[in-house]
Amino acid sequence: MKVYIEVTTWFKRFTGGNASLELEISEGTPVVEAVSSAGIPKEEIGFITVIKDNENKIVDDQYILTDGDRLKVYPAIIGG
Amino acid sequence: MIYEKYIRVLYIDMTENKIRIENRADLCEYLGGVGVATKLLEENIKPELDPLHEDQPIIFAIGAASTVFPVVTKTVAMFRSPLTGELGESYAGGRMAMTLFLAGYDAVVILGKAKRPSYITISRNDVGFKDARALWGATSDEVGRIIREREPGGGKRSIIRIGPGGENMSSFASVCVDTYRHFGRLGLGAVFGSKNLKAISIVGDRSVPIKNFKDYFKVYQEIYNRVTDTEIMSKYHDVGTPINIEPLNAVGGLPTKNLRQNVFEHGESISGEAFAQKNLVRKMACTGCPVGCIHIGQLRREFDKGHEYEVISVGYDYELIFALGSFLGVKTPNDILDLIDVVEQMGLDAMSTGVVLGWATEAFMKKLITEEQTIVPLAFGNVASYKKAIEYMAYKENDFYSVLAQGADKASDVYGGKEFAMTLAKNEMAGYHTGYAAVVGAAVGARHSHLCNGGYSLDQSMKEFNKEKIVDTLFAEEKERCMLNSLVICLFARKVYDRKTILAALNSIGNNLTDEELTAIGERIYRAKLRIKKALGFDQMSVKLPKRFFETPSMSGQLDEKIAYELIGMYNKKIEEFMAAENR
Repeated sequence: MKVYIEVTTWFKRFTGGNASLELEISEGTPVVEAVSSAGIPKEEIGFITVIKDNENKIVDDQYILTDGDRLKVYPAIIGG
Repeated sequence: MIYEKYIRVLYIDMTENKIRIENRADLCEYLGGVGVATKLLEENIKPELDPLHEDQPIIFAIGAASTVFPVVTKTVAMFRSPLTGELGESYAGGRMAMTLFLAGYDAVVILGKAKRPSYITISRNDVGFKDARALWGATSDEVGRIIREREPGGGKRSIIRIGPGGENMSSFASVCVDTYRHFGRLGLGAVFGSKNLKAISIVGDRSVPIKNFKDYFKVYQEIYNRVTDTEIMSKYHDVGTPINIEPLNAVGGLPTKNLRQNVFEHGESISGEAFAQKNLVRKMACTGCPVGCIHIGQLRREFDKGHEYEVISVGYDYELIFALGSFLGVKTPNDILDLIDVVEQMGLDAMSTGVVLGWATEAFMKKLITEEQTIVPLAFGNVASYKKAIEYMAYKENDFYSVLAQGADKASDVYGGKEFAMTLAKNEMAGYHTGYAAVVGAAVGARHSHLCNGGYSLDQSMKEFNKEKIVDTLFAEEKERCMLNSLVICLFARKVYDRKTILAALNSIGNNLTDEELTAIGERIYRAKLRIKKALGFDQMSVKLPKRFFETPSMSGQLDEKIAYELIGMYNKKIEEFMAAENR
């Protein structure tokens, strides 16, 4: 099945400069594994959202993707 | 003092124009930095007197590893806060730590009040008391420029100074350090003003040979490589902390329009990427830091009719963009930089300024205050009004602005609107509506800052809500940061400076501490802070949380007021047990 990943500018260093990617994955794949397979290190992932009903909803690492899901990946919050 | 068995303290009496230097072996058990500063504050503070009484002290201290290791760049200031009435603690980078180290002082205690506006010069062999009457009224930039021209020591010098906000003793006035860095929070600038102290110039020009260079350099290189060759700190240099705007806005944690919203509809236009694309022209570093996280934006603005333009450079980071951007509904990088510059020139804390104006805007909308009082119409996004209002606060233009200059808590005492005065224990909130740990962390933190225990970070990492885990983690982090701040590292590098690294660094410069001793130092410092807070009358259980925190959903969802108070109660019990354990 196919999912679509959009990344913020920070992550483009890990995706060959691409802001959006199409990914072919097998059923039952947790979202964190899908994002990781796109080249983004797990420790760099802050939040992953899935667009549902025109809303960005946060999902946890183990959220199981379904065909056609549209994801957005955000970096972790930094600071002192 | 490196390689010595004492802490060298410079005492300055501004009333008598006298100084003395003491080598205090007894302070070594506090290591340095915030530990030494806390003990000196405890010795010199006058709980019975107003925070702005001339007999209250200002303490500065550097740490046990200042300047000689990468990213150990900060100086800590401690004082009685005019904003909260209790523990005042603030940190600044720049060159100040390096100059104190190379001038040969671990700590400075300033007492008394000058008879006329003055500035102080500190060097290895001399302390000067100089007439600053001609500088009174000057902005932060102006006074910095004039002292740079008048005083020697360029390149080995740090100049810290106040603007009109400090002179007029706004409760959240800042002290500007070497341009772009600040003792921002809790009103140190007002304490300077109360002493007729406009500025301090410090020159550090001695050489400190490193003993056992081979061991030292090995540890130095390991730390340097971790800082520069790994991803741990690269975000701080690249986009900088404004990278936070995008994720916080996406997950509903960006305080917007006085926290009436948790998402800003113009978030994308004020993101770190937007600032980088449109305004970023330069990155700078504090002395001794190979990262360079200080982001400078260029602002071109019209200063007169007839196409008269100027270009100015303005420092920006996440907290400033939140406070003067989303929190006030300001939607472009140019407008935010314009507001930051006014705050800078007036010498106020940017975070408190934004949050105070957020309260004033909502109070104006709800007709608790009138335009006769505000002079200009306050509305979210109205940059022209905000620019005037910031100046009015700094100059205490009328009765209303005199109250507003004492912070949102005080303003809501006088005019109402307590439920949307976004303070935590009287200190204006930071830019994270992330969940219980952020709210409770600031409420229980020794200085009520998000940096006391990093609650916002805990909200992010905690997978499942767990009351005990929140309280235990906040408590452990508060103690650990007491130890870290006794060094005094920049907390951006806290993942680099783990216990093993700290011990290796200290051991390589002859400070043979153990892991257990570091733990004991952190606990000793925290207990001293808690003793000071108690002496100043602080009661953890009397802290009231504004209702707005529980009306607007956070990143972690809707928060329940009862649970927040329960967590504060649990933390308070932990503190009582912690203090009782000392007496057993």
